Amino acid sequence: MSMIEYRLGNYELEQIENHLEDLKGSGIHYAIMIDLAGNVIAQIDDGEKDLDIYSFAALASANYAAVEGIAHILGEPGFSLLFHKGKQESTNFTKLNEEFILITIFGSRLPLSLLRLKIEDISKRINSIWR
Amino acid sequence: MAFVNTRRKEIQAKIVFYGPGRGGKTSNLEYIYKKFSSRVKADMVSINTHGDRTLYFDFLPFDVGKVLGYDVTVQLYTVPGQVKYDATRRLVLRGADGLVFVADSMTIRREKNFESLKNLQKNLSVYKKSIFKIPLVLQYNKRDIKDIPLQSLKTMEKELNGKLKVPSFAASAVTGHNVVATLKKIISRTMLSLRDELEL
Repeated sequence: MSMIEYRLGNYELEQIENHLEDLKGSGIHYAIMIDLAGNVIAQIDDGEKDLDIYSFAALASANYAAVEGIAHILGEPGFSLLFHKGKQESTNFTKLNEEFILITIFGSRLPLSLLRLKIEDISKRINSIWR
Repeated sequence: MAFVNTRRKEIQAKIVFYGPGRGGKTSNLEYIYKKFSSRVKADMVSINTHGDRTLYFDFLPFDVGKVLGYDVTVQLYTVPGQVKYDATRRLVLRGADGLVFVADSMTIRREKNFESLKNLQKNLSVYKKSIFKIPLVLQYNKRDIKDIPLQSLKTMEKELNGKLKVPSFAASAVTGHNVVATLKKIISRTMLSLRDELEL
């Protein structure tokens, strides 16, 4: 896949949505796949929370890009873990590939280690779509 | 590049307002936000410094309606105009489908307009895009100012748009004069470009 130009067909979008659906019921409130330009590619939610998804995606992509810029200044290719902990809600950012990021929003009941295992599995499955 | 969801029949396109610092990019978005509250899906997001200058960007999701059977949302962004924020300008420019260059009409800002336009050209090249090919509209802002010398429109057109030859508007983001005309023009140019590119 090229760095900034991609196309996703119906098949790929359906596969992505199906994989994200598997995160439902695991304590994750939202799982949102975005591109680095801030577009929302796919999302699932548990219906508990109303989120301004477009603004969230714009800020999330900018946040991710800024942190990656910091990593490059430090001579790192990137940081493997980008995690923000809140009192009620926390977020985890996972880079899926050169173009896409998966962001999860989850409450305090879900341990970070378990979340990371789930995300790793979903990441592999989503990336396998293009293989 | 815009994201086209063929399953949900949605298009998300990105339009970036570029230009020198204190030129009126944020004021353009603020006017659009006030004028079109029914078409704006959420609150305007601004990441500012304590001095209320744009630190990272402003963001406004704008609902265009149906185009060619697709629900189109245009994501409007501004970049920080100050020279020192070049890295963040570049990040915001990523994936831009259309651009509005907001030039400052004040005579003392003439050089700043040139610098910013050159900077835009340089930063677009990072993404292998050409300023001569991407949908672009020029806006000569601050035409409402009375007590400070302004460049004539003829001079600005010659100096900034002589080579680009793109649509341009004399405008005032504060009064709203030609802000909507600028927006309409860049949306239509962006949509035409996407239609050709994506063969919709």
